[in-house]
Amino acid sequence: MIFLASIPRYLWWHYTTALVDFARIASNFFWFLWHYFSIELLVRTFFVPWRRLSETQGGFLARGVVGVVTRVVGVGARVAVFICAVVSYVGAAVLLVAIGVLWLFAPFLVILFLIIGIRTLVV
Amino acid sequence: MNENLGITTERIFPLPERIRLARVLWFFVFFFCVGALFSAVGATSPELFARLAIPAGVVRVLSFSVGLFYLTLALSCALFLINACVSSYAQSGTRLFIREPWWRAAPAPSFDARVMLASVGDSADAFSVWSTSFLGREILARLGITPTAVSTFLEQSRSRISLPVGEYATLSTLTAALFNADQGAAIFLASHGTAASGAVEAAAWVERQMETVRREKRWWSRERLGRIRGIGKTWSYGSAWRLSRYAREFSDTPIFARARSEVALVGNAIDQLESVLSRTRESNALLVGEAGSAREGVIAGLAARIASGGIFPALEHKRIAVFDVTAFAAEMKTKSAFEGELVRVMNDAARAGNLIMVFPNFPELIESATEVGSDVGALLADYLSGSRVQIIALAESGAYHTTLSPHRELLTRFERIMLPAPNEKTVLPYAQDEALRIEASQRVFFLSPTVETAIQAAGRYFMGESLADKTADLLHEAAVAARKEHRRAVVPADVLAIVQARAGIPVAALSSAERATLLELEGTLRRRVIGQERALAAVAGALRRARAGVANPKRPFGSFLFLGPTGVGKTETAKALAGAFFDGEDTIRRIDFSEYRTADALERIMKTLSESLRERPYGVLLLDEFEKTTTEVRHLFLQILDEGFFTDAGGKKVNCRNLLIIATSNAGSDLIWEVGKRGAELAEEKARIVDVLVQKGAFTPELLNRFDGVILFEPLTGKNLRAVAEMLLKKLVGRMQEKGILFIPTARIVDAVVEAGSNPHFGARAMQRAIQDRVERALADKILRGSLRPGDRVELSPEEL
Repeated sequence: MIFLASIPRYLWWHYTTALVDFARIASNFFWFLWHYFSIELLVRTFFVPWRRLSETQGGFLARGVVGVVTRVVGVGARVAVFICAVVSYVGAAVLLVAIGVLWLFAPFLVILFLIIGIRTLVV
Repeated sequence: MNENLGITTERIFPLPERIRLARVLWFFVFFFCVGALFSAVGATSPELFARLAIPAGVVRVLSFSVGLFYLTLALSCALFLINACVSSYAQSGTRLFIREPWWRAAPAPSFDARVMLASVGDSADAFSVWSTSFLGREILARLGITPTAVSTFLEQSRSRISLPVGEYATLSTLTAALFNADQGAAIFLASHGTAASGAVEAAAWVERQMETVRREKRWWSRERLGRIRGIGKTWSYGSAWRLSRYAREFSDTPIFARARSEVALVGNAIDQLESVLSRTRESNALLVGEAGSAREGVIAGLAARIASGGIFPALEHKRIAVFDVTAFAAEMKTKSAFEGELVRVMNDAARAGNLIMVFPNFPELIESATEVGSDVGALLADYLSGSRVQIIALAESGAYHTTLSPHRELLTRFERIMLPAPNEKTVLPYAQDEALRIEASQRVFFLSPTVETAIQAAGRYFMGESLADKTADLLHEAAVAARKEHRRAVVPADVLAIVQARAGIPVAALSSAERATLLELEGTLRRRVIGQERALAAVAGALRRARAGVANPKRPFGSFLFLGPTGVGKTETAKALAGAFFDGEDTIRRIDFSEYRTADALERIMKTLSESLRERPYGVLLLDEFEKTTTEVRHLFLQILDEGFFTDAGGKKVNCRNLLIIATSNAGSDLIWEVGKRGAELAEEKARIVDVLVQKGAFTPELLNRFDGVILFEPLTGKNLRAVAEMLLKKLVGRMQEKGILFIPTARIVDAVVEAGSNPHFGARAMQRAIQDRVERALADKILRGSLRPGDRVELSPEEL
């Protein structure tokens, strides 16, 4: 009896509160990727030399060359991270959309599996 | 009734049971999936099954696998959705460490309180429902009460009480209200050795445990995802190669693992530290705390916030490096080496741009620098005032006062954050978490009173050490002890047995032999001390109180001032106590206060006491001629008698709570004599004698009031002196027996000794002297003359004395 009475309450939760929860969880994953790839930091320090390496001795030209090389290395590494980040974002978005769709149909899937199971056993 | 779907489900079908069922269902999903695959293979190629000679019955059973697979999959998915629904409701009350969008923490009451309220709220027999509910069973298990005991109690005729109507914010407040209303249930708890307050503590523990389980299942939360170390965090900063010789990343140090669990002990110190470090200039902090305060815990909290990203922008991407002061000081033997290397290291750190340097024992660095003639304050001034590198210095309160306070200039560069020493209340959640960690690794089960006993024992018997650390040690050792005995439950007696073995203090549960000793203590003492019935009764009573656990645990477990003439048994009583109650007369620490009259008396006595008590923190402390010392020393004893500890010159607490303190004094002997001469009752004259002593300035009323008892020893007269003579002669008989000579003290000899040694002014001392001068001399003469040999029997006549 309690079970039957709970079904409408469950469905209400499934299509209201749970969707808000799902949106929050999705935002958490995007937040995670943002921090994991240090996007903000790397943008802010895009042209900073790799690990702040610099040459304090030697002539202007030698120091300049070292400076250019460390900056190029830094920019290259950061660009590589940005590419990985974009790919991850796209992957996460696709995955979350798929899970979201699955969630919308989840109650029906349970019923579907039950019907298939019973029918298979009966037949 | 405000009962949502989550509460209904949790009430009928609690979380651990859902987890168990989910595991079983997923196992069957996998099992039937394999079966279905086999079945499919069999259907497509029947000749394979025929070749493998699989019986037709098995093939028939396999054919059901597909249907069963779909059924179990449907049930598993349904259970997954139910779990998600309950989690959604249950976690809505969780306080998040990092904010998440569209999140509003549900107001009180807590989820578990609402689940329990939904169960017991309308019941006419609240205890019955409470004790058979999942949460109630968990609480009772923590108290060591079995379901059988509960059902036996429930079957008895008893008054059934419903839960009073009210607001219950937590499971523990609800439990408190339940036992407050149902006295029968409270008595049931008491019959199992626990008070209602114990059940309330256990309820709080169970509720925290449930919350932890739910929090850990929330793996998608920002506070969990944020702990995954990202990439590219250090690319834009320098590496500080030179610094890496003397410093390590905080998360790589051994203290980090321990410190992480101490975060619960530090209150709002992490917030303070974060705001100090976020300043643009002079953003350095000095964490000062008592020994045992969780200084590293504050840094662990900060490190966790940096790792999660939930920190002020100024501190994002910072690295915390712990400087090894000892290793640095050991290498830098000269002033130039010390200064040169320190400046190079600091330059390196400043260049890196994202370093927070931690000096775990900052006073040690100052002292090492002073030893080689360098001034750390001047060397660090530039770095401390700038913003390129930040410093967190740690110091114990004692070392802060002795070493850092004189460097006023240096201290102005730091913002001081004082950490309170953890107390029993703040350590409880930490100790419970530690117990759960041990349970997970050792497969034991801690009763709630065990954890409380460990905290109390750590505070009482290991004062001066970290309360949290010591408690954790006791819990670990108790778990090992229980496992050795092939038991799962870790009980309070396990902890007490460890304390007894470690500190040598008899704290474990009273054995029957010990009970008998305590009950017969007066008789035991009376055999050694003659004619002081009242004094012995008072002292024995105090010891019984202490051992039965009735005495105040925050004071010495007995303190007495013995007043009386010399030779009446004051010191002998102390010795008799040490012999009867403690391990023997070796446990007596005797301090003659007549030696502490000079200006440096306080300093000397603190040194003597702290050394002696650290070595052996229990026994009898005998303070001879107590009135003869300085006022400062007596003030020190005001604190010791009142609080059971004192703080030594190094700022460390010295535990005096396991001592029986006996102060003796001859002050007032003349008054006691005068009372004796008049034939008046000493007990009736006690108040007058004490008043006179106060007026004379021998003692202050505050000091006298601090003692558990001021005991007047009566002068020895008449039959008491004869009894003393008999007792002392008996001791001589024992000593002679060791030499193989049987000495018989006849009645005439006793009379002769009494006559020669009867000097009431000197009591037993005069008697002892008479025995030495006459009896022992006579026996010695005989031995030297060769007339008395081992195996002989001897009697002396009064004429021979």
